[in-house]
Amino acid sequence: MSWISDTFAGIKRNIQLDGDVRRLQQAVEKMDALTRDHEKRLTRVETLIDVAQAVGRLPAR
Amino acid sequence: MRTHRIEVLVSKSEKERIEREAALLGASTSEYVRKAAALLDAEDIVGMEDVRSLLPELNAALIRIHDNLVAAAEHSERNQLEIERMRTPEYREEVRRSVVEDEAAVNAMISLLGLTRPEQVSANGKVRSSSHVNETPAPWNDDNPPNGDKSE
Repeated sequence: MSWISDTFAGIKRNIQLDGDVRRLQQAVEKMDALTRDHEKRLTRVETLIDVAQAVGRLPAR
Repeated sequence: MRTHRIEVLVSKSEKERIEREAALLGASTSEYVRKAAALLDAEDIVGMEDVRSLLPELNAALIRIHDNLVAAAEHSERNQLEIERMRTPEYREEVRRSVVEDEAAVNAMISLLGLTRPEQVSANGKVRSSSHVNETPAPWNDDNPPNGDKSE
């Protein structure tokens, strides 16, 4: 394969990379949203446990 | 040993350009032409036009790749800052206020943790009956038979 053919193939791979990077960016944004949502839920559950422990107490045996 | 000659007709401007390029390389015109000819075969010359035609698309793709990578990095950094904000005492307090107002959720968590609200606890520390079965049962024995049967 001549160097021009190699160059041509390299350019085509770079152009295809554009689509892959776009997909990666969309995946990162979705993952960010999921992480943020998990953090919110976790904080709420932790706080709920704290509040429940502060309000309630173990039943007498 | 170079003993053969190829005579090539070129225009005045082509000759000037070839001589200029050769001078830039510090080579003679003959040496430059030999090197240039050796560098490319017929397939290369045909393929060069394909490469040239793809260059605008490549440049546009590289700009998009760069923009998308920067956008992804910036989005991730903003997300990280937002998560850090969610870990501050101020945000926790905000959530706490919201949780305290959600009595149903607090009661569900109290029940889930096996805890009891203070208003369900009587003065002697025993749990009062409520809609939930959470009183402390006494063990069954002769003094406390099942179904309250004390006929014996």
